[in-house]
Amino acid sequence: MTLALFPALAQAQSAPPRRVVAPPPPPPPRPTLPGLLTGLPSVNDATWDETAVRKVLQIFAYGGLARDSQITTWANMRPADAIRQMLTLGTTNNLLSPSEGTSFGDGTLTGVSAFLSGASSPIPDTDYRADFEQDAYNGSNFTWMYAATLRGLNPFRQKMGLFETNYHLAVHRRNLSSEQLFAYYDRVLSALAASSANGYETVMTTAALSAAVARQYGHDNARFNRSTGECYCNEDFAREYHQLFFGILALNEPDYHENTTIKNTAKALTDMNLYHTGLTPGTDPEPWAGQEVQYQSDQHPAGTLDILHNANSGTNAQQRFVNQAAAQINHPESLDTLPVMIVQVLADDNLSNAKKAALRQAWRSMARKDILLFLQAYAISTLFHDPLRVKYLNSFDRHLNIANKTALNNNEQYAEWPRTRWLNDFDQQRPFEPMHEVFGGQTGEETSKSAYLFQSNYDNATENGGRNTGYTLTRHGLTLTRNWASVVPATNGTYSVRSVAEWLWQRYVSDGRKNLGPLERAHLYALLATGNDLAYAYSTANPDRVITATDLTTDAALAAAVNGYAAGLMNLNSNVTADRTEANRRVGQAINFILATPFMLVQEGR
Amino acid sequence: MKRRNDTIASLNTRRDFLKRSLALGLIAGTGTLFDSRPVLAAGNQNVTQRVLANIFLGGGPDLRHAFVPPFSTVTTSVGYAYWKNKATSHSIANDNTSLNNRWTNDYFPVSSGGTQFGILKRCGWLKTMWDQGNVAFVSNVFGSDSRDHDQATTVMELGDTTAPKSAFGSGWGGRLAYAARGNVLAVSGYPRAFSYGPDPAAPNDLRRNSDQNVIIASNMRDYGLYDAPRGTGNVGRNERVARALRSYYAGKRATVPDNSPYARFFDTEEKLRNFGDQIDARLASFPEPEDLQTWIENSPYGWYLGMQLRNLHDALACSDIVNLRVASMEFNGWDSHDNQRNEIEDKLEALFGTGQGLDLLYRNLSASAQQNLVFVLDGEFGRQIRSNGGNGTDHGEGNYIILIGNPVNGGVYGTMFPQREVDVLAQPNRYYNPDIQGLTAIDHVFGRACDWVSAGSRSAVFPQFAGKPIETGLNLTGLLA
Repeated sequence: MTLALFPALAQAQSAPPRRVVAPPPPPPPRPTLPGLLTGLPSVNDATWDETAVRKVLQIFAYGGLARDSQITTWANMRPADAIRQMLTLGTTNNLLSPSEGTSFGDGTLTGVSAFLSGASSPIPDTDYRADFEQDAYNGSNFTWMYAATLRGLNPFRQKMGLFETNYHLAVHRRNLSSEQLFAYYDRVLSALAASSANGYETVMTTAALSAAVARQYGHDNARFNRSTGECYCNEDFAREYHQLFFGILALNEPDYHENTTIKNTAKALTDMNLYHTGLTPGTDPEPWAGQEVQYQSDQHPAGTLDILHNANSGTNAQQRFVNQAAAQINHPESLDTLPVMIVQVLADDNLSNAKKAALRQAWRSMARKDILLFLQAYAISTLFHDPLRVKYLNSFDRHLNIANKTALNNNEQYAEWPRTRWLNDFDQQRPFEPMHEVFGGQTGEETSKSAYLFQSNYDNATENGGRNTGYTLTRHGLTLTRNWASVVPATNGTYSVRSVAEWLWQRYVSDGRKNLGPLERAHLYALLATGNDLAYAYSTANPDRVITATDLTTDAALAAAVNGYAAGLMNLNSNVTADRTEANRRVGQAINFILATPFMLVQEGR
Repeated sequence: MKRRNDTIASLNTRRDFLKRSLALGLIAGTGTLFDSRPVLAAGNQNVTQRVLANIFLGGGPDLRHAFVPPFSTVTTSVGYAYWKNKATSHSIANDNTSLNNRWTNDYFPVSSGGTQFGILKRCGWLKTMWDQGNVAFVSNVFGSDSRDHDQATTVMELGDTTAPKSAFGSGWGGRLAYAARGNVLAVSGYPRAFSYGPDPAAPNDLRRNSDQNVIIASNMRDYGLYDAPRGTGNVGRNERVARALRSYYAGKRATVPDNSPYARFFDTEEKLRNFGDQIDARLASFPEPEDLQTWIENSPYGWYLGMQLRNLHDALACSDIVNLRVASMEFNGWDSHDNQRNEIEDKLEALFGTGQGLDLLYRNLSASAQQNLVFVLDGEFGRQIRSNGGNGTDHGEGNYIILIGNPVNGGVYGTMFPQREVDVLAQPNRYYNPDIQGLTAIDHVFGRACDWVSAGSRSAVFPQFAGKPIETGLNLTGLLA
């Protein structure tokens, strides 16, 4: 950063200015394997290692809930075989998220909500159970966050659910009834899970014809007068159906798009009557809140409508949008835009033109657009595992990754309600309340540029660090006792500081320890070995000393002290409660340190 | 430095913290937590440099809803055509009595240079400012001819009417701050593209940008990082981690390349830590404006719009520290396809109403701040001048740009209600999308504001302005004094 424009800051600045270091030359390209799709060659077996697996899980499954042994197994498989196990769209994935023996209803959002709030709920606190009811103020928010973090469900499915309903096909719960929101989420995900067989466009069609979208955009009252030809409708969703759902702006023919396609799409979105499941249309006292749609013809145009140069036919909205889908998904602009949009939102903030071209090639190569296959192919591709790939993590990514890596079983997750509260209260992000309304939720780029969110993350790891350094916690009728020995690998029954630090870094940062340099190690070793920060641990007389990596090589006494910390053993499995408690608290301190570094806020491809 | 004791740290929200802080001060009999420093009254900001505050009204605001032609029964008049075609978006019956009642009951009649129009009565503060000659409406302004939110927003943010949807580059606010050798304060928290200045290595390349002159602050009163006290040896467990991190960031920063994806976080940490201490010290002498704070806590828009306004108040108090020349704000939610009256009138009142957002800020500004501050309000596009079937309006083209402040030479600039609109509304089959025709490119309006902030900056910020369209006869020379 140049400080010339910051006179006050320049004066206050005590640290030396940043040295600009030229990046190392890129390594020679590694041989690749055939990928799952044309244009997306797979990384080879050597690149497909434990770190590669963890990076996929961090981006696509909020870190996942797989055991270390399963991650090793996947790393030892051929990438194409492993990814088919890792990323699936069913309600459960027992390898990615091993069951603890609990079934969460049918695994849908509605089912999880009913289970967690019902009589069989594993949460003893009945007041807290009620928070998961469909009609509860935070019912959808809390249920979704738990669905993404409970062992026995499928975090990739929930990640895709958030992507579709909060980014790509976004609705805002403020505009909907809870019935509409839950139905929307579950039906969109059901269509997504079936889209390998039916085509991705069926997901957009499901959304376009939903009660939720009709309420969100206000065309649930749209009517067409067949006698006069007048349309009492609006152009809101008529525009966004093309733009947001399929990425079609028709910039090459704006007049046709504005005056024909959008006008006719608005006409197609008429005579849709809402009602509640189980009630008869027309008799529902609160039809506006209903999750079902009756598609009528009386106040709907007859004949064909010219939409994107397609002679769209149908006697009601449902028929028209089913019939229109193929023209949409195969439109040249959509073929160019959709694959890039999907990858940009999910995985890469630094897409080059060459990468975009490769994604488009892969997308076009599928006669039937299969988003699961596309993402599986991408996740093992050289594009995803490219060192130049950069993905800034948004608040959902960060909080849920932390939740999945910190809570060691479902009971701890149930007792960890502050994680969801913090996402709400500190980051001010809530599922189903996308920051940009129908234009989608908070992006990673936005998160990375927000000083407030940096501060929030930093303060939560320091000022509010007790949540990780506490040893026992009783909440919601459950008692949580930290026991990192249950997952940290021991060597000959012992836990060296060095190995614990390395394991923690890989668990949370998942970068193959690329950024675990001498300075990071020194701070972590000191915290784990002594419970104190490095400067104070080394010299109680100089607790505010700024220690650099250079100091660690030029100050022999300091280097020796750090080596001593690294070689120390931790009492994680001690029979002495006080020792075991202290060891677990130090692990919590080390976690807090890691969480407040920039390396928890962005993922590089390699 | 920000250090809180465990009691305060256990509180849930900033609001709790504020309430608790006040209670502690009262119990101690000091009335303030900062009893060792002089307390200045609100409104004592010493602002010596001119500042432009841009409020972006995202969603495409129908400003014609707030500033309307008088209703007329003359069928060839704009006043008749407008009201007849907009009745449903005003949620009124489409008969002359209802239309006239709406006009007479809900709008202040005003005039400028022969143009009669009305200001929505819920915009009481704006009317007061208009009466004082401090409000300018520039009519028929356009950025993009696209009705796509993203595309049009990009154009407005970058200040580049030729920018494609995916354009990346410097924002016009950032370019202005750069030209004025100052900074942009992004008080909305998430910095808008408007805020980013040019890349100093290629300042004339509109497609490159830099964050070097952007300061991001969503809460000036809580700006900084939790820290351990300096010079204290044995501290609590959380403070040990904080001290480790302070040392770590300071020791690591110099080794992080500027092109690293991690660099922005080291920059943010540096700004928070260094500016935080100075801002804390300055604001300790500036109590929060009570009326604005009350509004923040009670208005439905308080924590969104109100916090930005309070941040601007605080930024002006710290204008020398942060070298403030441009403030970036946003107030979204104007995409009123249905139920427009409900959708936007509350927002209009929150912005412009008496005792509401801008009013509460303005009354807490010093004379020097008022004399050196101009608000520029814009949205990505205007809306169509005929209601749709949902009691709302669909995307259009031209719109008003509103400038507010003591330095503004108030009035209507451009033709507020072109006669063309009567013809457009009379021929629905020819004009499928009845628009306010965009006649004047944003370059001309924003450029004048730039020149006011920093003389000669217009050509740097809007290098193509001379070739951009401008409404025939429109003269913006005297827009700002």
